Amino acid sequence: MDVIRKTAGISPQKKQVNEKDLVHRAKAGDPEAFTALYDAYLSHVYRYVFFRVADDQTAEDITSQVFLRAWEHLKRYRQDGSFLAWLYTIARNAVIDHYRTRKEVVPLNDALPLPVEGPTLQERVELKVETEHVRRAMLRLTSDQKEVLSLKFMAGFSTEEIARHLGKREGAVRALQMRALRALAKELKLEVG
Amino acid sequence: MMQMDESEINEDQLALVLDECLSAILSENASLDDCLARYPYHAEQLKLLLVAASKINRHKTLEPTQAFRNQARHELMKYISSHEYKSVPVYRFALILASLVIGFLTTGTALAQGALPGDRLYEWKLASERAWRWTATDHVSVDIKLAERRSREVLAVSGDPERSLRAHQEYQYAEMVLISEIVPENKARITSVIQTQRESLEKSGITLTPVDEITPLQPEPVETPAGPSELRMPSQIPSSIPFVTVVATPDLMPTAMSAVPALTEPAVLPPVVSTPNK
Repeated sequence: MDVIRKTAGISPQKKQVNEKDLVHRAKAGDPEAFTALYDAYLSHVYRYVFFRVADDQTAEDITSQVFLRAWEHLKRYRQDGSFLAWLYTIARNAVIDHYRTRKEVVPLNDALPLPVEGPTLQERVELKVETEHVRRAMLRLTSDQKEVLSLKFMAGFSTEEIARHLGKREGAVRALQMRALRALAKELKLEVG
Repeated sequence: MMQMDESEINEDQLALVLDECLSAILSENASLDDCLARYPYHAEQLKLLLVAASKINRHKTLEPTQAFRNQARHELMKYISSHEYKSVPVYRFALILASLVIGFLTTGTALAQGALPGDRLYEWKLASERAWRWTATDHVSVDIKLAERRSREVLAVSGDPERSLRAHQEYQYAEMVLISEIVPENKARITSVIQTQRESLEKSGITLTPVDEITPLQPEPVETPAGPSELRMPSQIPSSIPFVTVVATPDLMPTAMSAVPALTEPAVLPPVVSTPNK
């Protein structure tokens, strides 16, 4: 169980085996196996959602919802694809549902918690400000652009994986990725000297 | 036009080069300068895009707070315990299948009730009536209703010789079953029903031989319900059974008479299979 928690130092094959085993046990109704999956993938889902919503409270709410929905619909998950990719699909739908049912624009939360990393308080504060800045810029991108950037940078998907996940051609994903970064650069008011 | 093609090609090339650079940065830990040096032709455009990418990539290690992690885990556990996961929903599958079968049978049976002799659903209608009779406690009442249905069917298909033949056979059969159930207690009731039906048919141009003699059956010593696929038949056939006879009138069933000779004159009933009491 611990093996999947620390995925950084293990081979993808071993990770796959453990994920498969955990998913298999979770599908058989083992809550411990499912919470192990939760521990392993909570951060991934949170990061994916984080830059697609206006404040961290919403990001947390949606992240929680993703795992509740995953448990509820676990029997529908077919083990031919990655479990994390399935969670991203649920997360994407949850974000869409959030914007569809939202009655008013949620103001950006200035009380964003400080990032955990960063050796000094000043660095942490700077990172927090930049996080907020990037988030505001990301929110102005189109849904497709946000999606492709979240999958690329937050989920760590390759272009091929993004194409498969979104049902698009790789060429289309590359073009979308370029347009998304151009739009992000514009929103961030980046200039190259 | 040529310029547009060239710019499109350049865009595709730039998208490809950008993708290769991002892969190198994300998975091979290459630096921005490495990429720019590798693709000097696209360096100027690449730089802006890669700087934008680095802004978002800086947050790839973003973590939720420990407080949220703990709270969400607690809520998940609570949810799991209150929403027990059914791993193998075989029972649900069986339930759905059973519902579908019941729905199909119910719909089919309901539709079949309007079927007439010669219709596809007519056999279904008869089968459902047998099931009805099997489950009923008062067989005589059911048989009276069935005889009424048969007489209405005779009238409904009277213009179609082929279907009339079947309708008459079924009516004859229903009447015979009724007669076989006569005992002194219900003789008046059954006789009255048969008489009424016959009058109704005769008014519509279908003449039947008179019920000149109805011999009541002796009550059977042991009452055993018959199975759904078989009617409880008399163990003793009345000595004289009235026959349904169709009088060939020119305007009614002109061809029926040639097609159905057995009905133009008193015909011998089809052999009755008696079901021995168990």
